[in-house]
This record gives sequence, structure tokens and C-alpha cells, in this order.
Amino acid sequence: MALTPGLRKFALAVHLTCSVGWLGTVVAYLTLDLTVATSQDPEAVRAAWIAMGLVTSWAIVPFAISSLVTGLVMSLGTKWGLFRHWWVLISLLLTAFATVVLLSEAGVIGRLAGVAADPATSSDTLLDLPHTLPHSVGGLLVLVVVQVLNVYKPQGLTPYGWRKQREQRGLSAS
Amino acid sequence: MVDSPRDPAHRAPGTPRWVIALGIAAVILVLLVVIVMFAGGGEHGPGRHAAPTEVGMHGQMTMP
Repeated sequence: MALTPGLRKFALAVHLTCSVGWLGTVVAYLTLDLTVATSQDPEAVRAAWIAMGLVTSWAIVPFAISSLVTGLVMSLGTKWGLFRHWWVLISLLLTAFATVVLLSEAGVIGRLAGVAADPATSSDTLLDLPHTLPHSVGGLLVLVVVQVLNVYKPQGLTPYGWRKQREQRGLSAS
Repeated sequence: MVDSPRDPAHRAPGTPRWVIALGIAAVILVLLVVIVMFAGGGEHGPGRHAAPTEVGMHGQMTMP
């Protein structure tokens, strides 16, 4: 299912946009998360949590799902394949893991953003709303590792990739 | 030339060192996270994000 050169460049452009976009929106989320963790101003915390809810629903989740899907398209449509090279396989596993964790946390984030948006929520409750720093920092770290792998593409065939390469060499020699 | 199974060309390449190093780093990170979680109280379900005062289904506050 090889992509034509034109389609491959288009798919790469979309994939890069989604992946880097995901990373950027997580950085934006992290700055808001830091506000929740450190601010003593209940209205700042309220605003941060509302923004965190919006950024998660309308930016991070769409970018994450798009990045995963376009990554699959790029792998399956080019010589790299999905399971032949260690950097592709590890990138896929890390991206899938990050997406699953994100989707499981998105509901919690939405609920807490709803609490913050409620005008009846007291200042004490606002200041007691938890931050999500372990997830935002951890998520950012995972995305940076994936980004580095995708740029450097370190060498290494998986056993499956090595077998496929031998098969193809055997076919071309015969 | 005999193409024997003992020929190095027959053997799949080993796992690259950078993959092993990444795996070790990931295991260490996970262990650190688990230790910090248990040191901090242990809960990692959605309940850990619950606001201290009970919250109803639609985000409305119910006072104790």
C-alpha cells in the first residue's frame, strides 16, 4: 500500500502538524497546570481550570488522535512499515500509550473544569482543586522522546523487519 | 559456499543498545513513579482528582 511521492509528502505534512501541535498544546496545558499548582488566587485557578478543560477537549485530544492515525498511515504507506524498525515500533507504542492515558484523563479534566466554571464553587474549593502535573509533565516527556526518535531515526531492525528484509532480498535475487 | 544456520547472516540482529538503554530508563522511571505514589498515599484512580467537597453529577456543589 505504498503512497505516491505526492501523497507521502502530504501525509508527512499532516502528521508533523498534528504531532508538533500535540506537543505545543501540552506545553500550553502545562503552563495552566502550573498555575493551578502554585497560585493562591482562586479566580486565577478558576480561569486556569476552565482553560485546561477547553485546551484538552478542543486541541490536545484531536491532535493526539490525529497524530496516532497519521502516524499509522505514514508507517503503513512507506518503506518503514509498522513493525520493521525499532524506532517506529517504540514511537507507535509510546504514542498509543500517551493517547490512552490522555483519553482516560480527559473525563476527569472535564469534570474538574466544570466544577471550576460553576459560579457557586467556593474560593476554598477552587484552591483545593488538584493539579495534574504528573500527567502533564509525564506526557510531555513521552512526546519529546517520540519526537527525538522520529527526527534521529536510530538504526535497528526488529527480528520481524530483518526476516522481511531477507525475504525481499531473496525475491529480488531469484 | 554452504549457507548454514551457523552463518552469522542467518541470525537476526540483536536488540540495539539504544533500545535496551531506553527500556532500562523507562523501567527506572516507572519504579520511581510507583515509589512516589506509594509514599504519597497510593491512590491512582479517578478519585484522586476529586475535589475535597462532594460534587454532584452536573458539577453542582452539595454541602456536607
